[in-house]
Amino acid sequence: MSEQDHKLPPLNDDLAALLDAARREPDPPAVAKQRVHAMIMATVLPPLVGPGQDGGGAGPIAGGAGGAATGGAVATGGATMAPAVKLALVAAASAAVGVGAGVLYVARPAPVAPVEAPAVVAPAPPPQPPPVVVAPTPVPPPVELPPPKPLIAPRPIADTLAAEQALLERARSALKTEDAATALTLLREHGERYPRGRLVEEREALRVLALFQAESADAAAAAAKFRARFQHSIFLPAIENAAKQAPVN
Amino acid sequence: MPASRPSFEQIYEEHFTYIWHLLRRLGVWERDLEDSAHDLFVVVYRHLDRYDPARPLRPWLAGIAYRVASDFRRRALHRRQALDDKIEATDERPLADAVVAEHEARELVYRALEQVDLDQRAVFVLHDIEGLTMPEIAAALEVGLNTCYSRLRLAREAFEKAVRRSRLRQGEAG
Repeated sequence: MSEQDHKLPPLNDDLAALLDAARREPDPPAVAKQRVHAMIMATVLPPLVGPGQDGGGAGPIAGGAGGAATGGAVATGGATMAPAVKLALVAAASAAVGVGAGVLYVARPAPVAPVEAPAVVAPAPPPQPPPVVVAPTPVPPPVELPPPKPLIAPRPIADTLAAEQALLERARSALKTEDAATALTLLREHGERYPRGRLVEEREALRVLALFQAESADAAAAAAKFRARFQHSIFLPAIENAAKQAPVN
Repeated sequence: MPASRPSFEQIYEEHFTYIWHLLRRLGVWERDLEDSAHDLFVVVYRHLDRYDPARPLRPWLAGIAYRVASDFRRRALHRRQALDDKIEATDERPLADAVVAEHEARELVYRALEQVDLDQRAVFVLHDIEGLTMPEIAAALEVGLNTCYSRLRLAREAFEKAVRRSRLRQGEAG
């Protein structure tokens, strides 16, 4: 059945003019487009995880996907993201936050050093034949050879980042189970160990969320401080959400 | 040659503005547009494999937008906030004369749209504003074609009535 069959009368001129005006709506602000993109990436990319842990869906700071968004599979065009890429994305996003949302809008950050790539590990030394022991002649103690040097020096920054992530992930897990006290302890530990770490922004975001969860009187002030310090943070929606849900004193 | 599936980034780049306006026209409040756009694109990201690239993309996106907007309206009602309060005259800055009339016309459209039931409003918006065909709308909303036509007729009547009422009120106020 075509539209003709239904003989829809045309809109009168007045309504047509009104709808024309509606169509000429100005474009949304560019910053909104960037912010939404950052929020989406924070949601669809798995939460920060340490090696060997499974993310399994968006974390509490992911910005709150709506009810329509179901399923936790992370796929881009059907391809599962490699762990190294996940880590690199998180690291890049974390590094980018300080310079504004514009950087976050980059669909996929420029390849950063594969901080988890296993290829940098030196090959194991060839198997040695078992030492021949002739008893009872005393044998000098075997000479301890120093471990073979890796071909490429390990990247301390990767270790640090992984350790930072692991600590924050524990804090996040605590938040998930509504154990704000443990989360705050872990976040304090993070602050002491990595005062200038690469995940400071995330730590501070989690701290604000934990304070809200604990219904702390300091939560609102911490949120205000976070907003001022990280004006383009991808975590702001989650913080605003927590602030909205906080009981009014 | 079969059409290739666009990437998420392509869709986001090309259709963000469309989605933004569509969500607004379907009743998402201005201040909640970012959250709803986020919700919609998360669905797109996760279910892109379900999109048939042989078909036009916008009706597929419109179907998701309708569901996101429905969900938003349900939650909004849950929040017990009167919808009438949310026709946001949010931008208090003075407007240049040349754009005042257009701005007011858009505000009038939004006010009138608020008076139209969402199911009818969706057909009206998609057909009379967005220019989708009725079969596309029927597929996007997963309803029959006759239902779509019926909703469009009702929506137009309700919209026209709401415009008249709104102008009357403005006239009385002025």
